[in-house]
Amino acid sequence: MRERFLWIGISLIVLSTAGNYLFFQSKQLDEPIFLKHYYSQELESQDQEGNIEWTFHYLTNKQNPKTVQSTEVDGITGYPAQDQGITFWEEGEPQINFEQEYNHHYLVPVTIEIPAEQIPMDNDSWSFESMHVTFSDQTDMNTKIGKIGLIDEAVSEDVFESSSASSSNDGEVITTLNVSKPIDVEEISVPFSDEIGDEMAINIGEVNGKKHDISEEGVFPISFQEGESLRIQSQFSPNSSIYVDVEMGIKGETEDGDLFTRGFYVNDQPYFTQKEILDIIAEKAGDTE
Amino acid sequence: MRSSFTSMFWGILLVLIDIRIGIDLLPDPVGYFLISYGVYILLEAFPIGKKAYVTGIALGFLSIPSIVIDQNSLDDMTQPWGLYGFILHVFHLVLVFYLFQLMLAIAQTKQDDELIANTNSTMKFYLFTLLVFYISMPFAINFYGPWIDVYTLITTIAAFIVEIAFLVMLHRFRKLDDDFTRVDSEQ
Repeated sequence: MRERFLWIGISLIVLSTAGNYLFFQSKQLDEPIFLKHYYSQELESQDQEGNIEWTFHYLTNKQNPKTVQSTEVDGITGYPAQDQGITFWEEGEPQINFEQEYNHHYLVPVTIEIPAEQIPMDNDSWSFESMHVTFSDQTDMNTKIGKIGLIDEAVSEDVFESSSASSSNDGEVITTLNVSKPIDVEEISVPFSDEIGDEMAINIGEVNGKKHDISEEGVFPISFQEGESLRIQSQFSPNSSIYVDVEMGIKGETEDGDLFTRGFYVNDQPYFTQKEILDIIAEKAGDTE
Repeated sequence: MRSSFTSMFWGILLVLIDIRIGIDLLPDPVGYFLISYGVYILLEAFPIGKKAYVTGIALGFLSIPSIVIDQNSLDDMTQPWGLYGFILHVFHLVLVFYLFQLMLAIAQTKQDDELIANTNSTMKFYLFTLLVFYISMPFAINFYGPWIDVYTLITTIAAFIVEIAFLVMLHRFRKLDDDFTRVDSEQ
């Protein structure tokens, strides 16, 4: 009689094993998913000799994860930077250097280097939205990557004396500039504003004075006097799912009518929960149908 | 009786303990054949042991690859060898069940109530614990988080305790003498 109990137990084991295997298989990705990145920076003249680096992030299966061997954009090949942080070795094979771990996937960063001299700066700028990726196991894919751009160094009147920047864990970046001449700020330029504008709120003002939300009508021009401290606060939405590292610009006119432009960097890294990862995967599956 | 259960005792020990340097120095197949040998000696007096005998021989052959497969592959259920390792564990549970059946039959001929009760309860304890363990183990491939580590720790300790309990029972049966009255078989 008790033997039947054993065999019922064994059948439950078989059921559990089969069910869990099916579920596991259904969660495996056919190919990695690259997240959206919005990067923009100035290409300074001294950079022409070195490399430009961008860090991209992708989701890959925990079972047989893929590592990037090379990328290609516009005929230019990029390779992962050599010192990618700590690499763990286990049983003679390099372990994946992941940023976050989920039930079935890893979120992996890869820093790609491109020789600056190979970049074709047409009209003083270059940008791309997708790239071709080859993995170490010789599989490859074309993927949208967001928008990556380079612009030529801007030359302008120097109207700021010193500056400082700080950022916090909850997506807030503060840039402070000390004004050395009276100026009228006429614009804050935001690269890729169509794509990233929704994820951030920007306001500008004198450090101890009124803050102006730049998305409001009639905010500009804003005047600053010599000696005042201009403060720009950029606040990213906590649910943002994009990587941002852009150089924004303050543009305006001095008292004497000279135009000035000054760049300042703003960046934000998203954090994904398990559920958000599943949403991203489902969305991607919807795209390819 | 003594030599039977000595054989089974060492057989189980060989299966449970694995010292791997390139290969498993305490090979599981040898353990299983030892167990079957121990059962074989008693087969004439206790035909109920036939199932244990057959299962032991089958496991002896089935476990041959485990001599050379490394422990990590055997533990990772998402890989083919991990599934193989899991199947071996489940089969082993079946073998131990049949061994308990044999031991119960022997205890009954001794008409030792305490021994019968102890064997029964150890059997239930063993069966229940490992069934729960093996039914829940496949769920672990689909989850990640700190409680997976807690689950692994608890189940490892529980499995360890349960195997010790079984070994203790085997050791008790070693001490039984061969002086028994054969009960009219109703198997």
